[in-house]
Amino acid sequence: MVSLQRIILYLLLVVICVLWLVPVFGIIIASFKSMSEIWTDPWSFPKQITLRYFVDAWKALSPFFINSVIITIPATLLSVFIASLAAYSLARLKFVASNLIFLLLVSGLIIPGQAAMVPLYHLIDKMKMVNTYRGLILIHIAWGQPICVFILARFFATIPSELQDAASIDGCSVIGIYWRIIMPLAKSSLAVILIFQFTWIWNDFLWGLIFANTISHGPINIGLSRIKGEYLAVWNVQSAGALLAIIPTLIVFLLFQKHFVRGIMTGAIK
Amino acid sequence: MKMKKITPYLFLIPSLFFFGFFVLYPTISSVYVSFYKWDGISPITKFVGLTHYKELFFDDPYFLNALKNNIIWIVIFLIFPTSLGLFIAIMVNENIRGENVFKSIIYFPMTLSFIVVGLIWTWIYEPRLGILNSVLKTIGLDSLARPWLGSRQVVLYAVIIAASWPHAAFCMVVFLAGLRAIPVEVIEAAKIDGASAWQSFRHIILPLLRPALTIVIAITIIVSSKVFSIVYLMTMGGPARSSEVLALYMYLTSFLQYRKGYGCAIAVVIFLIVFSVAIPYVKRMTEKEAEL
Repeated sequence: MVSLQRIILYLLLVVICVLWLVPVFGIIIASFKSMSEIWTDPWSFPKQITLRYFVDAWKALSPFFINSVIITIPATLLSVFIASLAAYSLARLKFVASNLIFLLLVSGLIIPGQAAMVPLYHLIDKMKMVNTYRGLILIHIAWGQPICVFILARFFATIPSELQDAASIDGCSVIGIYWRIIMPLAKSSLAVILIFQFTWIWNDFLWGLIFANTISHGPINIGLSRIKGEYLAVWNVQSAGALLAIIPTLIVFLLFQKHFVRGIMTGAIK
Repeated sequence: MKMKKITPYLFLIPSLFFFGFFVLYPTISSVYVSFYKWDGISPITKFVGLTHYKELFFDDPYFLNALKNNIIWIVIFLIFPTSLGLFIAIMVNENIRGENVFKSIIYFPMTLSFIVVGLIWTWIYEPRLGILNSVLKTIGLDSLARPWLGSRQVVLYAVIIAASWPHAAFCMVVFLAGLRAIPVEVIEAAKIDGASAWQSFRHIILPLLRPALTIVIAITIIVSSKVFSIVYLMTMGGPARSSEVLALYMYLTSFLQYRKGYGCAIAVVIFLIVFSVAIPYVKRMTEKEAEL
């Protein structure tokens, strides 16, 4: 028996979800219409579907898209890997300063980018890494450490020490324990943090703006901000560009929805 | 045996190196640089002590304007997207069919960059073609239609609403986690004792949501203090600085006006705001984690 209350609840949720997606429908519709059609009837379904504007947007965005791929994939993998080493050390190889160092790393979560921006720029400049892929990758690795170590260390701490002790007795080295026992067990946490890091790094704008505001090395959001200027009031190309830009994160999101939501939820409650 | 003793440190070195070198060191340097007058090109020599800070608070209407805008941002963000997220979380919590679909749809904006969110909402706010004005005209509220991003009085609020879209999604997820952590028996017991829905909410659920509320409040204040990308894209702080926020002001000062010492002072102020909000929260978070 479905009560009236539940029906209303359900309807309300459906309405909210529809309204929630209106902004996205807006750019989807605009990306398929010619500008003259947009000028007469901006928010109705396109009379003729054309991919022209996606092609135009891709022409403008492809260098930036490729830059983002080159930057995001290594940065994500490296930052999670390096953080997992630290998390393993802090959570499973207890030593005197464990908690202090953990606190130090985690406090990095609250440092806003602006607080380091100016000296960081000059540091990277001195290292001749402005407008390079490796410069951006190193920055993303560094700024990803607090959150990655935080999430991974919390998970590693929940692994029963009996497993580690047993392996140790069997002659497994410290590295062996890390690689053969801890990491496989951490698969779901690793999945969560890899997904988050990928999304955050792909979505970055600030570091791209400071360090690679160029077509040669700028990430996708730099490209989008430029499209806004170059195609001012050309809404179909801008919309198509935005849709192209979100393809990777959208794919990751759709494939791993469960992990996304679970990741925030477990991060949140404890 | 020696190997065993230093192994933990070996595992830590890469992470600490990156963090120390690219995060901590520049942050501390910012404080140092803020005491100097520096254009970023010549060597750092002109020590000015706290002059920049004095200038910021007593002699800089643009700084105070940006600070005001961030405060408005904080206040609105604490009221609007958070309660929206809570409201939706309560509904989704009711174990309805297709829950995962609803969750995914609501969560979706969080996967977008603020540049994309900015582009999407700039289109919504377009004076002649955007849906907001079109809908207003259709329902006869013509007089309310206006150039949302071009009007000094409303632009800041327009951008805040746009940014509320992903933020509400975040709040929903956190609150949902908090709600799910409340044992069902507690709610049941309240119902048996005759508590109304509102009473249950006020006296049982809300207090038990404290951890989730702490996170939401802390993060809301923090993101409102350092907001940058969406303003950069949608308005660049305009028209006439009416939507300019601290982070944008700092960027313009440092990189376009070459007042890097002054810019660092602004950055330090941003950091202090964020720091003072976050410290009690980080403390509480790590107290629980103290025994890893």
